[in-house]
Amino acid sequence: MFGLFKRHDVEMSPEVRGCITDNGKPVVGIEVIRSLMYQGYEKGKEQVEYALTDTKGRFSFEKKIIKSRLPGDIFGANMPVLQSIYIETDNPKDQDDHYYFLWSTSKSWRSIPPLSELMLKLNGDLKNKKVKHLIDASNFGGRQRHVVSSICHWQGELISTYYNNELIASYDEIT
Amino acid sequence: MPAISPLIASDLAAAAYNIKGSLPKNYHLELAPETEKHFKFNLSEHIYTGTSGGFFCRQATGFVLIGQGYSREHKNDHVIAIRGTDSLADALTDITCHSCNSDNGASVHTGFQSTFASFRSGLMAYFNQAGLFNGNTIVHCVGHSLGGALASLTADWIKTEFKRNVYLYTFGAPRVGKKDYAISNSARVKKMFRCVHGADPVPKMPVWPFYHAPINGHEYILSRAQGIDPKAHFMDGTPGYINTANVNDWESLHCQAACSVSQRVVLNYQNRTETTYSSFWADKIAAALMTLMIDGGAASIIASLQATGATIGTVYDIMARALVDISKIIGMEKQLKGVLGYMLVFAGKSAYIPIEFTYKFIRWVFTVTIGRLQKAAKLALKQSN
Repeated sequence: MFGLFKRHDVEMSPEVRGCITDNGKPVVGIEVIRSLMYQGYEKGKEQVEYALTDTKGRFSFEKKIIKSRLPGDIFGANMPVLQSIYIETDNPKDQDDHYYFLWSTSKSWRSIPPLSELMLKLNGDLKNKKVKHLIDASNFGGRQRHVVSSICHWQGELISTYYNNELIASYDEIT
Repeated sequence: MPAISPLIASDLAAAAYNIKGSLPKNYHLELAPETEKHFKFNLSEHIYTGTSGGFFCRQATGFVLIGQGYSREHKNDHVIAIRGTDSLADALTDITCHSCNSDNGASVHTGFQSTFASFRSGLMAYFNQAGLFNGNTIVHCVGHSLGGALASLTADWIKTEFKRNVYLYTFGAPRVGKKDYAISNSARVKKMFRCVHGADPVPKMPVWPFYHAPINGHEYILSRAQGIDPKAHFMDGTPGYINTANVNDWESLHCQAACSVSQRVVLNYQNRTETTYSSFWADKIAAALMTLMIDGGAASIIASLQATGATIGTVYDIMARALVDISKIIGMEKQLKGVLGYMLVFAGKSAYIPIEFTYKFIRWVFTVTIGRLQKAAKLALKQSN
């Protein structure tokens, strides 16, 4: 019976660390935006936070854990946490895409260790092409193919990377 | 014309949950590369809202996501992904659950029909656009959980309203309507992929006289674990429909005809302790009950119960009375004793309760059995996992 009213710890976001460069040079003093959304928290209102990059282009966000009853409901348990971390630039030459996504995904309310690990490595260069990573989190209570879009070009055993919906073997193919 | 793969279907069923709230500006829906290869989604235009749940706070939220096919295989096709909701949970497990007429006049669950009706006009506006169909357009309807039930009603309606081929893909969906709906829906929907996990309790609800379509009982069992486990219902995690459906073709998944309620089953009282609290035995006992009613000459009562809009509580009242009459037929009491004995063990009662052929006793057996399947399951479902 008590399970009905139990409040669960929902991981809106683990700790985030990263570094932004432009053609290898640090981007200093730019605003990084973290947007989080979950139906079981403040009626699904978007939670926005900002951080500024330091002289080496580095930025960070603290982890955000909230309490919610939604995961205790068999139907509510399917509601995802929407996460995106991005910067906005005013580049007049590039009118279509003013946004650079370091992280964009939706995940379950639980913490998924391989994803948390990547969120400490949001090191992206603005010249990088945005790719789609499929991360195998099946051994960590997550999905076999967890989709994360990013300009960060990670590599790893659990990661397969797609560009334009085609699997790539190396980032050399898209530079 | 090709169906969409299990991978794409499950990806879309999961993605439908992302569109509930008002999305942040420049939000990107992260879909599998395979899905994006075939379909395009316009989040600012093709999300349709609906309402569900009680009479108060009927706030419209995103329910339906429509994508347009552009690949060689799916050019001119459309996909409709519909999300589930937590607010229909009570209606689903409620013994007083009502049925009402669907848009095609078949009896379906009232809660599903009213939720479907709340976003129907959005779908109407979308499909009335000029140039949306050509000769071989297929509309693929996808949904998980209660979203699967809504996808079934949507597919039924699109076939009737627009005369287009519809394919239906559901994951862990409950029964939508009674026998007349299951039969007509089976005929209207050209291809049906009903996916379940063996231990998922939701496809077992609501109980008879609700039926699954396709009426031939075909279902894809993506995980064969038995028993009843709320975790088996989730899109994510283990087993997780998104993981068990992670394949490119339907042939590689296990398809079987589920123990259908119309199958002939006679249970022997002596063997009653073999039953376990599982979805397998829930189906088997229901089939034995139907067999008993038919053998006892009460087929017309079954037929009328299937057709009326009576609540499940009333249905089992009438059944209990019919069984008392059947017990008076010479030679039938053994079969009835078998069914009641199995039900008691299934309900977690002592196997040694003496069986009585009175209305009061039989009605009590129904109450504890359905109570265990619905109410106890629901409590377990609501608990943390």
